[in-house]
Amino acid sequence: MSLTRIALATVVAALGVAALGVAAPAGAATDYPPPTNPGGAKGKPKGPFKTRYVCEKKQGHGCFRTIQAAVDAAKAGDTVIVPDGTYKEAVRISGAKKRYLKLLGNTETPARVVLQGSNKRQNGVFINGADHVTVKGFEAKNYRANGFFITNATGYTFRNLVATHTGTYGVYAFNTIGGSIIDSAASENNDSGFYIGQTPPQTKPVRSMVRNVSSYANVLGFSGTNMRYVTITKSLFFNNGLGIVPNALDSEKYAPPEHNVITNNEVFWNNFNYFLGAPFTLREGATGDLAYPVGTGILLYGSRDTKVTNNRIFGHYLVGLGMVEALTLKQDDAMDLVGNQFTENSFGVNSMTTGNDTDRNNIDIAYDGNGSDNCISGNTGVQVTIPADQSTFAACPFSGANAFSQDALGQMIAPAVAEDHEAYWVKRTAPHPTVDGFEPLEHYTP
Amino acid sequence: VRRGLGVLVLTGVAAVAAAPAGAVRKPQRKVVTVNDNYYLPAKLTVNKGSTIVWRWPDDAGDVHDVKLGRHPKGAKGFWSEPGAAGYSFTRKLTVPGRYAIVCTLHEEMTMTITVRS
Repeated sequence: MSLTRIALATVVAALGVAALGVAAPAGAATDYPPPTNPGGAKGKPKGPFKTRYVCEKKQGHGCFRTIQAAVDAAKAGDTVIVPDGTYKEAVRISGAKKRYLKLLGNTETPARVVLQGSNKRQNGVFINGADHVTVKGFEAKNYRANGFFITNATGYTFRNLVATHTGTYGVYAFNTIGGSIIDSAASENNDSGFYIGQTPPQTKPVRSMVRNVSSYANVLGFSGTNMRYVTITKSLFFNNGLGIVPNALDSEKYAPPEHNVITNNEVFWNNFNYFLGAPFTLREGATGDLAYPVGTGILLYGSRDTKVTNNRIFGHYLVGLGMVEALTLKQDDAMDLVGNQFTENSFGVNSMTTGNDTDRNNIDIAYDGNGSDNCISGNTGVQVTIPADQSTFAACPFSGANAFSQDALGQMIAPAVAEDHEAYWVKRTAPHPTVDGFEPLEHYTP
Repeated sequence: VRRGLGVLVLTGVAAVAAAPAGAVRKPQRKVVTVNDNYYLPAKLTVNKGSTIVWRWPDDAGDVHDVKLGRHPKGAKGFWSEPGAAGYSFTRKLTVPGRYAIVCTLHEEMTMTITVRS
């Protein structure tokens, strides 16, 4: 199906209104506080520092009964040690007085220190306004909102964490500067396994690092609404609806996403059609008329200066790697794609098998030619593209306006508005090659 | 019956309008639902001392919070935990004036409450 640009705009506009629901009234800007500036004036604490211990079973003296009690007692720079066990808590770490706090569980086996939400608590660990906090060695499960959530802070370290079956995001950083999410896993979250959103623009950018994470069986493996200065590397994104999706939305400040690097990851089998059943409750947004195009490896939905390079992308039934302007964004000057590069990626080769077996994507690369300074070159294994003649693909480096194709845009948007989310799927390699320890997830069965 | 009800309602309205100056209005209890990405209702007028309950959906939703922005002098600020589902947050508003509420995670998500004296 090919849509005219006008028809498409009409469709998207209509869908956008539907998705927004009841519009909030415009209020005077001064009525509402601007986003907190992450990184307050408070410096590094001088100490002396204490280590606070959460009690082990039958232990009663010199320790705290709950993690929250230990956190409450801790001062800036202190360490809280949590022994193996299950904790039915929602831990809150708030304010500058808790800066540089270290919350440590079992870094070798995080699953032995379980934060249990019991499907009634909201956040496993919620950090607000506390800079340079470290959280290591926990598994958070069954929270209604997020597993691990930090906001309005700088310099966080999330490491050796597992977040599973949460109501929204597994590991979530919002309005933060310069953090790291390392050696962690997220699965069965009804939005994204990992999410960095609303990064404030910075004159001297501090980059954030996502490294060696594994994200699977989520709606999205990684979401980045208006995310910037983030590097995602050496990680696995598989069996999600979509793998990695930096995106520009009006719902958060500072659109678009920019200056991100996605490099040296394995992105494969993101064909989880959660619409037909999932281990989590679907949100209204996920089932709306404008759906995420399930079966996609990496999709830039509006981006600037983002490099997608040296990734192995294979086994997707819709698209391996694509970029499209943020069609639903009201902020016109942030909608277009500018300065993005797709280089040195491998397509259709299963890097998880010893024999590097063939495991093709339906479409390897899709780009409609929107924007300027975008380029694509040096990729291997590319067999099928949108557009088929690659007329929109400029070799790197490239500056100037790209060659827009209305037909390519129509082809890219069609799966997002189709009622049947598999209508545009093509399984070019079926079944996938066998990978020890990994089972493809397309349709969920309890 | 319908007509009779209309007369009754009109009578009631007239009674309120005719209440003597200085009469005490009873505090109310109002529920605001927290949706993706809007509060409902987005405008609310209540009597002094009323209790507002923000209620997240039971099933699933995005993460939202409730933070007080501009408010009348003497009113105490508040900021809920970010929640997604099966959560509620309650505050009693005792100072007359206008209260501006925002979700800090979605800046377009706002509401106002006017508290009558």
